Amino acid sequence: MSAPFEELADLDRLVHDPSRLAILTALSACKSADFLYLQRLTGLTKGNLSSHLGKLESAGLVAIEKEFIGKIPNTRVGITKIGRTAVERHWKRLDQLRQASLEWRPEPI
Amino acid sequence: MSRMPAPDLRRLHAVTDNFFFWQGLRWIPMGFALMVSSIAMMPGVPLSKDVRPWIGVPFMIVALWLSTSVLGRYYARHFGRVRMDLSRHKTRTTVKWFVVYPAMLAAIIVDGVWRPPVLLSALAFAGAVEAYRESTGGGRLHYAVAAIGFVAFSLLPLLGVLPNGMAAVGAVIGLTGAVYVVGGFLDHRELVRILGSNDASDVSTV
Repeated sequence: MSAPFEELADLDRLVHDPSRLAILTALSACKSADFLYLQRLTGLTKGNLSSHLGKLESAGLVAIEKEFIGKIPNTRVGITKIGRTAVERHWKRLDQLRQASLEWRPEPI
Repeated sequence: MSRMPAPDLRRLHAVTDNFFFWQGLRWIPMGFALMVSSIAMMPGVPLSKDVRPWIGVPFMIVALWLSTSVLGRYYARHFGRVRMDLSRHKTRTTVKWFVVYPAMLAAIIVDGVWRPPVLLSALAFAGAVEAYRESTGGGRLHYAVAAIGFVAFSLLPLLGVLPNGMAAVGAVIGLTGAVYVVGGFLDHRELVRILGSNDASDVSTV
């Protein structure tokens, strides 16, 4: 059996990044959230948040829609079915890793 | 759903899931309206019996307008918009409408008509406050303190501090208003702490 630390390498890097995990976690709790909310939630700059959202959108994990509320542009982001499955699988995997690391004992030299 | 590993992620999830309820300033006007209604129900207030129940109504209309329109816009402009997934809250909605609200109403009727020595309405409101806290993301210990306050309040007629009957129910409503005001303020403070106090623009660059 491999050590839990080795299994860390198997984690989905796209989802595991702290900012993207926070975005996906928040989006998994609602139908959609706008850009401003995600920016406040993650504390990312506009450019960084855009970059993360772009990566998640390219992978099909989120869907981005643009609309106008009055004269103000508003970007709405929602998690897709694939994204929801990915983030839930990721939490499960992290739980398993946490459990494995608690039970893990180094092999005697 | 799988368990989430980190408390911070759980908090992000809870706040997003219950964003509307955490917008504490929205609840403050309604709290003041309830307090006005409560004062109007007090025995010493020089108002005719016909007018008393209606005093709070205009305040509630203004409170509703402030809450939905003015403060709704404030939160959207400064904190962004979240569309709730109502399918996630079917149990909460069912329990609220078929258990909590009927229990509160029944307790008010019992207190007003039969005047038991312990204020059942205060006990029902204590349960409602705690259920609210739990079902809207947990945390916010001020609601647990408020629930304990309601339980303590329910004993006042038994101790001879407060007369039982409708006057006591009025006091419970006033206390509820105070919980709205203080709880709303503290919820807002918690929301600002979680979402950061820095102002962001709502024009995205995606």
